[in-house]
Parts: sequence; structure tokens; C-alpha cells
Amino acid sequence: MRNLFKIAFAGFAILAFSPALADDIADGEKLYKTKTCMACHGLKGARPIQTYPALAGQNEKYLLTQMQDIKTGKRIASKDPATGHPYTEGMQAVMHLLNDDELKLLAKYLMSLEPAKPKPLDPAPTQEELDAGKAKYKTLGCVACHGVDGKKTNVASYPIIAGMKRDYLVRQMTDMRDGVRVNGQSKLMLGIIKKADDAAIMAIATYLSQIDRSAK
Amino acid sequence: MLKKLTLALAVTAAAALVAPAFAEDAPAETPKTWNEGGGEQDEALNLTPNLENGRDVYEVCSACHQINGWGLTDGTFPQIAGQHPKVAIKQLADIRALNRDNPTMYPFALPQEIGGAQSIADVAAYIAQLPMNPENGVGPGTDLEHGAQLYKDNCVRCHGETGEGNDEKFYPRIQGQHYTYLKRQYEWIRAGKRRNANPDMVKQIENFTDADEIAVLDYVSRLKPPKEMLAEPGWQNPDFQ
Repeated sequence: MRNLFKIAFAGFAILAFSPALADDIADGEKLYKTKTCMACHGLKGARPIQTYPALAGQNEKYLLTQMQDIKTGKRIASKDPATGHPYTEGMQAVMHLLNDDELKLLAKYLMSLEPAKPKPLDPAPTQEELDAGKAKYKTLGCVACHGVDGKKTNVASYPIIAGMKRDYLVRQMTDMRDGVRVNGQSKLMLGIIKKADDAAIMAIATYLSQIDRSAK
Repeated sequence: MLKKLTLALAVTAAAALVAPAFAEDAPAETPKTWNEGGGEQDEALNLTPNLENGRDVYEVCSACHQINGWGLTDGTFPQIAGQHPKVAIKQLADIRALNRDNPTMYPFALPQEIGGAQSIADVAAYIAQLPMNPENGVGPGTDLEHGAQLYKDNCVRCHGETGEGNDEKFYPRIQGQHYTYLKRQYEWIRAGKRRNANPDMVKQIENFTDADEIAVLDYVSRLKPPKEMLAEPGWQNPDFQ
């Protein structure tokens, strides 16, 4: 009987998944390619240029709120020393090309994608450095929200942080610690991240950036 | 080829030859003159362009300026097809050298994305030969006679009878440009936010009212490029098919 339920449920789940979600993902992909997202975040959200984040396989809810917050100016970043403009400004300038419904489709599409492979660091970190980062990640308490190895969050509105570019991770942690990035749930993180100095942030970022989410 | 193209497009993509909208941060310094030359600009100006490499470089630009170089009619990205090579070289070199603020385009203008001075020369030549959008974005169309008069009295001297500009003098072709884009640049030029603007223009428009601005830019957006420079409606750049 129980198995029967399971089968029925599985059948229902497949039906529920099917055409509507597949359509949404396809629509999201089209938006991703035509509304200039791909220019910075790369093919299938996994090949970002410079220090921009990979978006493939990120939590849908988190993606949506971040896109909304960048659009409305709630999420700002520290200034790019090269240009003197906040890192978020270039994106904010094109966000009027997308309405709220389109942002939802984009978030669905991006979540459906295969996570990016870690970007190798040069010079490659030693095992000691990775271990030190891992230890820091644990003792600081990052695990509580971002999960073991940063691969799975306890709440869908939090970001998955494993395998992100190191420079991006460093910037986000620093911006949150220094009160530059204050949107969404950032303030919940403040109490924790304020205990991290630059070296600790670098160690954690080095460790997280080399975790491979793409491996099944 | 197609594969390579798709991949290149996907991997990099994008670049605005001229600025999309962004926030109000006033820039720190204004260059001493609007066209000092030097650096990569001079270097690129003296190189013989290679159209084939120009096409390859343009893949990066196409994510924003579109494969036709027509930009978006809402003015987020300007039409760059048909622009004078020297104008394109100057603007690109200025954005790279941070003489013109454009945070959206800046990362794509960097040498590691598109290459050095030769690439600037190549892509400028490629852009110049693209046929232009026959259906660009235009203004409200409510005050065109006034706009025509203003244009005649204030703009013709540099931008030409039909907005054709002047390659030799680095004056941009503005005919057929999207209205909203014209408006944004005009406002930035007037406010000093577009730092590489010609001070003669800043002076020329300082007494324009808001109504003057709308009228003259509306008129400009309706100036047509010569027939031989216009594409058929619905044209798609075959280099990227």
C-alpha cells in the first residue's frame, strides 16, 4: 500500500514537473541569452568573466531576491578600484530590460543548470591552506546556514557558496562585514562575519572556491 | 566555424560601444581636452584594420549591441552600426582609459577580453561597414519644426546637415540613433558626466530648455542615413548566422 502511494506520488511529481516547468526553463534560457546576462555570467551561468559570480545551480529563491535587489539598488557592492564604480552598477544599468515575471523565469532556468567546475587558483593552494580554510569555515559557524562544504543551505533564500570564484567570495564576505552589502539576509550574517579578519576571509574563500559541486 | 562562433559568443559576449544607463555618481576628473589623443587611440588610428579579426572581436560586443550592431530601440544600447571608425576608436579607447565612464561596458573593453590597439582598429572598421537599422527608436514627434530649427542653428556645424558627423574630426554620426540613447548622452554631456564630451557642445546647449532638448533630439532621431547605408527591415547579420 505504501509503495503504491509512492508510485502514485512519483507519477504525480513527474506530471507536476513536466511541461510547465520545462517551458519556464526554456523561456528563462532565452532571456538569459538575449538580455545580456550571458555576457558577464557566461555560457550556462557557469563561465563568468572577471570576478563575477557563477549562477548555475544556485538556489532559485536567492537568485530572484538578488536580481530584484540589484535592480532596485538595495544590493550594492564595494567599488571596483579600476573604475571607481560599485561592482553592481554595470548590472543595475541593464536590469530595466527585465520585469518581475521574467526574473522568476531566469531564476528557474539558472537553478536548473549544472554547477560550474571550480576555477583553479594560481598558485594552487596547498592542502594545509585548504584545511585551514575548512577549519575556519567550521569554527566561525558558516556551516549553520551554508551547510557542510557550502554545498547545501538550510534555507532556500541563502546562497550556495561552494565552488564560487575566490575573488567573488572574498568581496561578498568583506562587503557584508564592512556594512556595504546589507540587503536581504545579510544582517543575519553580520554577527558571524564581523569576527573574521581579512586573512580568515581569504582562507575560507580559498577553501570554498575549490569545492567541486559539478561532480556527481 | 559555427561552433567556434557560438562558443565564443557564449563565453564572452557583450560590450557597449557607448554607455547604457547607470547611476548618478559624478566622475572625479575631467580630461583637460576632449580629444587629447595619445595612447591606444593614436596607435589604433595608425594601424591597418583587419575586417576578419574585427568580426571575431565583435562577437564580444554583440551580446549588448546585437549581432547587427543596431543596439536596442529603447536606447539601452546605442546603434553602433555605420559609426565612423575614428569615432568608434576614440570612444573605445576612452572607455578603456577611463576617460569615459561606462561600468557596464568596461570589463568587455579590456585588452584581456578583446585584445590590444589592433583589435580596436579592427572592430571599429567592422562596425563601420555594418548596415544601419532602418527602424531606430524615435521621439514623440510633437515638436519637429522647432527641433529642425534648433538643429540648423546649433548642431549642423559639427554633426552635419543630416547628422552624418565627420570621421576626420571625430564627430559622431547621430542620424538614425535611438532617441532615448541620444537623450541620455545629451543629458550627461550637459551635466559633465560624460567626461570626454566636446566642450564646444557643452557650451552650445547650455541654454537649451527641456522642451528644446526633446524637440531637437526627436528631430535628430528621425534624420535618415543615406540609403546605401541602411539595411532592409528584418536584416540579420549573416556573419553571425
